[in-house]
Amino acid sequence: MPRDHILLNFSLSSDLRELSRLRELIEKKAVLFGLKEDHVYQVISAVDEICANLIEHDPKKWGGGKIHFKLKIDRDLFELEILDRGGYFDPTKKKTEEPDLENVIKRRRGLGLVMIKKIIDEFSYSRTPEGGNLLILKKYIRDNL
Amino acid sequence: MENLTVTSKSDPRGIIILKVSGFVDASNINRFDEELYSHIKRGTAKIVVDCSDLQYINSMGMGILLEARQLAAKRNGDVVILNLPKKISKVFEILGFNEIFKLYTSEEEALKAF
Repeated sequence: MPRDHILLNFSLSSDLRELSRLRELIEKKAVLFGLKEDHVYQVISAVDEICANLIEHDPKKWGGGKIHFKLKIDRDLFELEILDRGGYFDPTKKKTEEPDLENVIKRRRGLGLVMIKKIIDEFSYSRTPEGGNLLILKKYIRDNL
Repeated sequence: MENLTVTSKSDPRGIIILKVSGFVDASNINRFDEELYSHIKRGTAKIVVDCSDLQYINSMGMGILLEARQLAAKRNGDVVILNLPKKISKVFEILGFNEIFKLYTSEEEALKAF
C-alpha cells in the first residue's frame, strides 16, 4: 500500500556548497513520493533561496552552526520547518510585492523573497525560546496525483 | 563533480551561443556572472543562452540574465533564451520573465532573433 506521507529530518552546515546536497535530497524524496516535476522544482527553489539567504545573512554568527530541517510531504501538502540558531532574522517581515526589476538589476538582490512568496502558500516565522529562528513553509499540492 | 558548466560558440555573424548546463546557485553564481559578462565586456551584445541542460537557476542567476539583457539592449543587442526546461519556465512565468525574455525552442529560430 502506498505511503500517505514522508517525514524527513536533516541538517545543513553553513556552507553554500551544501545547497546542492539539500536540493538533491528533497528532489529524490519528492519524486519518489510522486510529486510532479514542476511542483518539486518550485519547492526546491523556495528552499534553496531561503537557505542561501540564511547562510549569507550573517555568516559570522553561524560559527560551526547547522540549519535543521523537518520535511513532511503529504498527498496534498508540502511542509518544511527550518530551524537555525542564528541571530534574529525574519524574512516574512520583508516587504515584497511585484519584483522591482530596476532594483534587482541595480542591487542584484530582491528577487528571491518575491519568488518564495509567490511559490509558497504559507510562510510563517517565530523566534524560539532557545533563541533561534523557526520558519515554516507550506505549499499545497493541487492538481497532483 | 562539476555542478555548473558554461561553454560558448560563435556563429558566423558573431552571435554567441552560451550553453549553461547544470546548476546555477549561490555557490557558483560568480562564475556564471563572469562567463556571461566576459562576452558583453568584449563587446558582444547578441547572446543566445542555451538552457537545454540547465537543471536549476536561482533568483540571482535570473537577475544576472536580466542585467545582461539590459546591457545588451543598450548596445542594440539582446539576450534570448533557448530551450528553457518546462519546470524552470514555470518559475519564469511566476516572475513575469516570460514577458521580458524572448524564448525559443530551436537554435535556428533563436539566431533569427538578431
